[in-house]
Amino acid sequence: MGQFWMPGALGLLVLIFSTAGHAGGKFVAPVTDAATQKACGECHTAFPPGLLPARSWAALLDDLSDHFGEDASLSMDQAAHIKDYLVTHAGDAPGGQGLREFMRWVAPSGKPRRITENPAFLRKHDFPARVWQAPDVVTKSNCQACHAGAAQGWLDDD
Amino acid sequence: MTLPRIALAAVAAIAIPLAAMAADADRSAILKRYADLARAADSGFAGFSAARGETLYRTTWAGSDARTPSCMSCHTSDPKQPGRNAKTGRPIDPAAVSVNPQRYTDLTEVEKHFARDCKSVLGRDCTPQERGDYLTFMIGQ
Repeated sequence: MGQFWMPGALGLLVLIFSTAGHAGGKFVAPVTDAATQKACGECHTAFPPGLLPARSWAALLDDLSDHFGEDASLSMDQAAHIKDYLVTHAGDAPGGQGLREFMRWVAPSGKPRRITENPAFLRKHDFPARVWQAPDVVTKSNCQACHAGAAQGWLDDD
Repeated sequence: MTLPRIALAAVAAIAIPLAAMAADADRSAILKRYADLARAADSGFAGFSAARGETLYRTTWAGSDARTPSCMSCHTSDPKQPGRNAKTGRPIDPAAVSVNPQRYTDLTEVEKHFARDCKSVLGRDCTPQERGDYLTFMIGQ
């Protein structure tokens, strides 16, 4: 994962070579827990847990009744199970598969809610407005619209 | 046809209708629950109506979220077609039972989605009468 520490052109060069193994693809450990996949994935991409720190996941799961303006309440058991899964697989979890490239932008006590506001995300998704306004896209969080293998963890450079 | 293939065909011939019957029974149980609740709320309850369900589906409620003024905002004007979540862009399987036979077979799921979607589209809870009407419309689609 060392390549993510190098900024600018050198970082990009390393990225190109390091990802050549899978058709320019990048693997980000996906959700592997069935209950989490179902509960999150039935409304939106079940985002890879490694893209947010544990404290962000905990806050999101504690506040499901106002989930980006939507009441996404779950039963207490379900919410607790999913919170536990996401926290233990979070970007800053010990021995986890978090994406340092994303984590290094997170302030020490920062509690970001939107993965799409991470500078690492924005740097990779610097597209003209018409791309975001395509009818299939709807929102920046709709990974699958462009990354067909997103649910399996492949976020390739489409 | 070899024997295993005949056996497989026989199993499929029995299992597929059985699964459909089980799904129908699950939907009937959910409808009965809504009928009981509707009767409890209004002694004049006179059953569910697909036509009223269709009106519910096609009405522009604009009750809450600007992105979801109507059921059709996500499920399209034809419930037999796949839809798309108007907030997240996520594809949605068709709402019509004829093309999606496993729809409305789990009360917890059905209740979860009515609770969320009625709030988002109508800006309030749906009554048991409305829930039953909606399901009756989708069962006929």
